[in-house]
Amino acid sequence: MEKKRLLKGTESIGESAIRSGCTAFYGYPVPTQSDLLEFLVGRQAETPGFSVYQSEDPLSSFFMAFGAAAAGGRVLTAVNSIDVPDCIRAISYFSAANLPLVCVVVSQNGPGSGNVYPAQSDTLSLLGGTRLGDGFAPVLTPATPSDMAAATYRAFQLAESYQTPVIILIDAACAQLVETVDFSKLTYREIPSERVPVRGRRGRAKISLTTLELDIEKMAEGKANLENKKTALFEEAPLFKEEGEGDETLLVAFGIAAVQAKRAMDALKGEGIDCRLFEPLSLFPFPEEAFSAAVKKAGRLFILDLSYGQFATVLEKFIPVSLPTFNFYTTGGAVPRVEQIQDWIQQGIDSH
Amino acid sequence: MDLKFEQIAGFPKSLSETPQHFCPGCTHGVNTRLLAEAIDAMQVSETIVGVCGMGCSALLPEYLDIDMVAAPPGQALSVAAGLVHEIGESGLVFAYVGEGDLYGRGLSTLIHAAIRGEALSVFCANNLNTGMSGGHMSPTSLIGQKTASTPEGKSAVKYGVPIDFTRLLADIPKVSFAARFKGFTAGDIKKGKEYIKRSLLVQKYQRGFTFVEILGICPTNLEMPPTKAVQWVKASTSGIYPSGIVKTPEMGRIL
Repeated sequence: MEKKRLLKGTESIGESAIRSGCTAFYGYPVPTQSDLLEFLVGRQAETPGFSVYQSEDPLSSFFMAFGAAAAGGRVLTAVNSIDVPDCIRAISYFSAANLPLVCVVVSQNGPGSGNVYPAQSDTLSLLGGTRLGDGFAPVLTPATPSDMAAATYRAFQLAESYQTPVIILIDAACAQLVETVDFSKLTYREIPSERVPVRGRRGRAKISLTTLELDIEKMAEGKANLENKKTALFEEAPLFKEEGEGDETLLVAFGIAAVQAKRAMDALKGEGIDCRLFEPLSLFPFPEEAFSAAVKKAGRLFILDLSYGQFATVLEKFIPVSLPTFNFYTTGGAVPRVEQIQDWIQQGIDSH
Repeated sequence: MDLKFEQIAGFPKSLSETPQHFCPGCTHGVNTRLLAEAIDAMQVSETIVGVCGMGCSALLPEYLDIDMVAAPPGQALSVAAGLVHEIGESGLVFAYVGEGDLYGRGLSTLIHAAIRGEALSVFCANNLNTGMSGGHMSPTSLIGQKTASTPEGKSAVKYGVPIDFTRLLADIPKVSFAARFKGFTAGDIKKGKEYIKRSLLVQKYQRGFTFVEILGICPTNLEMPPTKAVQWVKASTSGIYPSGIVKTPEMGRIL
């Protein structure tokens, strides 16, 4: 039986990517995500059919991945917050060309160069940015190394079956989170690929893979196909986790905020306060039905986030105005402490 | 006596019959045909993949009867490198990019692909302006050249003096073959076809990075009839963008 492995977040993603049949990683070293590059370089020698390439800049790593994906490769890239604009540009092209890509985005503190401490302030950039030109990309949000391993396999599955780019959004704290990952609990089936790789005609008709379309009707048709793909993706139930017994007090968070919220919830349980934690494992598509159901049962809602309300903006349309809602933000790179969250929830309960 | 006829010239097999959008007198049409002829001569139409950049070259996939990928502006050589990595020795990859794209926002990808020595043949169509955008200044526009963004003529004070990028690339150790020809004079076109074939050969047998710049004319944006554009480009670029082989795998740097 396979041994459990002690891995940090980025390493768990790398290990899972290899098990998912990834053929190439294109990376550029930037703090908070370069651990993934280092880990995969280490795995390269013992993994036939898998290569790691360090590019001259993050944008070219995306487009090298584009070329490799066009030729049939199953590719992975990673960026941190600073290079989210490059990521968005790439998503637009992968989306238009119907090519699969799994891209890890590690959120650090911004704006500008900011610092390398964790933040969740890329949420709206990614959710909005990936819609550039009406393109799209699923955004998965695992928090723990075990969840990241599962999300990586799922990302490759989605990327291949929908021929679309997929984002795994984590924060700089979760990237460093260490946990025992039990890979025997995860099922890695071979992911089938229905793409026709661009490798020369080799007896078939030529392929022109282009995202340029000057004909208005054909352009509209291409966009309609993309939209249908998005609709089909939304019909697949997005993943989420729900923990705790108390329906009345609902906490919602993802990433490191969810990890801390869970700890605070456990501590509060010791004091006799029952809460429920709703953790979306995907922001696009968002588990709307499940979240709305949890909200319906709740008497008060606590939103925990490492940005100035970006997550709250995502949730807004699912929250009735009548529901007492509390937002707790930490910014600058600080991770909310368990006691802080406990106090904040206690105050909320006392006030409502 | 039985006479046997052998066809020695004709419509290249790798050239599609789609009518081309290029303006009258444009060199892109010549370049496209040369590429098709070289691909036919090398008998690689089944295993070759082409990459085109943004601008007037972006419609090349419609004109060549081979597998092609259109890259975003500035990223043609990244896309081509990715294809090379995935396809390996089982095929050939070339990129055909205009100079506004390749020497402008694509310069970093060009130089780094050359430094890494990707097994790739790069063809740069240099027509001294960014044609598709409407004839704006490009990195190779000449001093004094009037373009849509330099209506008074390109200023050396403001924009510097254009350089010979082919020679710049020839200095990079892993560049195996570098050359330039004019796509608008009969003698050069004949030589140019050999350069294109040679660069594909070097890629095929030596897995080297090769570079060929094709100096062209853009009569529409130069606002000259083609014959005058030929004379003007010939006269004004002779000292700056000379024709000839700059580097070969056997002899190294020549010019």
